[in-house]
Amino acid sequence: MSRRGLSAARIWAMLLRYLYLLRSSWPRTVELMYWPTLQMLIWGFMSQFLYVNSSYVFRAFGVLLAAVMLWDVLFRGQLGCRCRFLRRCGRAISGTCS
Amino acid sequence: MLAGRPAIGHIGAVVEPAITVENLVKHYPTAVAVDGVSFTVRRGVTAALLGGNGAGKTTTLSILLGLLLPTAGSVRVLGEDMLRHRYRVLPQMNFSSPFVDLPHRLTVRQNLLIYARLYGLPRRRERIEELADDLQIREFLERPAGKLSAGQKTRVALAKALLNEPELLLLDEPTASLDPDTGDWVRGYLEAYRKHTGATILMASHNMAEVERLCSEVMMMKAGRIVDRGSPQALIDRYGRTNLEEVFLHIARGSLTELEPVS
Repeated sequence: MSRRGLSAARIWAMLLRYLYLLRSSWPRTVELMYWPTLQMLIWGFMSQFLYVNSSYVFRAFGVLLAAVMLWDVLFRGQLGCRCRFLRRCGRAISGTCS
Repeated sequence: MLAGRPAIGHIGAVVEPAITVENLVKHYPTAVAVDGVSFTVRRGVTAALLGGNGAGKTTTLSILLGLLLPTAGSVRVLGEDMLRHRYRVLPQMNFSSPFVDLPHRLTVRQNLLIYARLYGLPRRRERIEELADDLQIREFLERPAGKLSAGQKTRVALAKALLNEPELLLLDEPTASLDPDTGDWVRGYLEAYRKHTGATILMASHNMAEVERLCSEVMMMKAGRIVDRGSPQALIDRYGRTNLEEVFLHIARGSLTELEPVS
């Protein structure tokens, strides 16, 4: 509100809003980390298993599987961010959230 | 009661009105919300936009805040063209409405701190302490905003709106859903704030007693147009009624052909 254009103070204020929110709710923080952590672990163990115990063809399958899981992690991450952002925009437009 | 900026004297000074609106029009695809509205609000007064639901009050306030772009017309706020130089004016104004909630899970203090940062205030914590005393919100500063009563929420919303000590305060139904005691307290506080700081207040309200008490200028809106204006007493006299509520009912129930818009 103070000046036009990019303002580090305003960006920090918006970050602070989410930091306060996370600090006040540990289930929210755990939920944020749980699925990505679980997926990364499955991805790592599965890739390791296929790499060590498989033929050339299955190793290729392992790489493919690893790629798919990495893609899924990134997809879920950006989906979460996008949904939250769009929901916030919607509330701002409809005037139900400041 | 009030801390902060000292009183401002305007005696003898020739200054541009706080708000100048000319031929304001706002069309939506299926409706005309504001239909050629023109008015000015002098600095240092409390003015009101009155009208029934859908009269165009909130749309007009939203345009004044720069939240909506008008279809046509011009808006000057505190001497600046709002449509072209919005960012010069915004630091000097603020808005409060009981219909706009603060984030529920954050405490009152956290909410105020975030807004103080968004407004770029230098003395954030001190200003919040001042407002906590002025608005009597200290006892629930550490409580989540979602767990406050309607009266407490209104006081917190007012604290948020006064963080930057605005020269122009826009209020949308400031005492809606408040009990008479809290409503009276809020009205008293607004009156004291205006007298102490010389700020201009423009409110949209359905509470006629509130408008009679606080406002020196009233603009009656109907179907997106201003159909009459004047001081509360002048309107009461003009329509031969005993109070502003009767004037409001007369205008709200009258046909538009009887009520030619005033320019």
